[in-house]
Amino acid sequence: MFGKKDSATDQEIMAGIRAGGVTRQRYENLFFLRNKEMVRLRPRKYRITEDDALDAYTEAFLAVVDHIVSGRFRGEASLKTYLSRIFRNKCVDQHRKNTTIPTDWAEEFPELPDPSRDFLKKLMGEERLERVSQFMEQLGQRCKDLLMLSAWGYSPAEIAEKMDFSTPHSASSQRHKCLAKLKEMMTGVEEFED
Amino acid sequence: MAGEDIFTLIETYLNNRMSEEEMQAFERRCETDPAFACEVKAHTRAEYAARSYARSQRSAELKKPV
Repeated sequence: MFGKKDSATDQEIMAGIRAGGVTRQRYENLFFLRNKEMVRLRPRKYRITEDDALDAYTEAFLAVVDHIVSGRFRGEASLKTYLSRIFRNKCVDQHRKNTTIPTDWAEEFPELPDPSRDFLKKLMGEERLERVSQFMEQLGQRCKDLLMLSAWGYSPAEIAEKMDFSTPHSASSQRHKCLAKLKEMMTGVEEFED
Repeated sequence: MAGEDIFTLIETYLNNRMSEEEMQAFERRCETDPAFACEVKAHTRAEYAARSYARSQRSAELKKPV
């Protein structure tokens, strides 16, 4: 199904990323390195450092991957052009990063159609979520690993194999428990009181 | 809400696995049922936190020099 990685076409990269699991990570790494030159060639007008440009590039790259997986990007432009467009926007964000930007709740739910993304933003309002890693760090390592694999596109079957669960259903059920635990930890925190 | 599998319902919504009619009904319910809206918000926060953390870990991994 997948050709030689070094000379992979956009179509092959997209198929590789959509395949999920280990194949997804291999093609992500290839796509990331192939266009990393953008960091050095960043638009000078935003006057951002190379480190900030690398942050902007990584964020843009991960957004493109989300758009490939969710089907928001269907190959209307080349991957490089699409990535470059988003990279430019992320450079602007980096340029403004000292200003207060509310949490973009829709950012992590690229699967949702635009009207539902707007609905979610309205529902969550001006809430800001700044201590994400603090909440996640309080979870056990196994829960953290499970939630991360799931977020990276691993299927319940792949997670079961990687983490020694007896069945994909056990992996899904454990994921529910971990998420419920996280939800409980975040409930009652003053900034989220409804 | 007792006995209802709210967890699966919210996951189905957030992963865009509902029909258009089901999505509209879900969103209408958020607007008319405060307890349900509260559950959806709490679940969205947790799911957002997990996804966002996974993104930052992947980001750190990608930025490591090869």
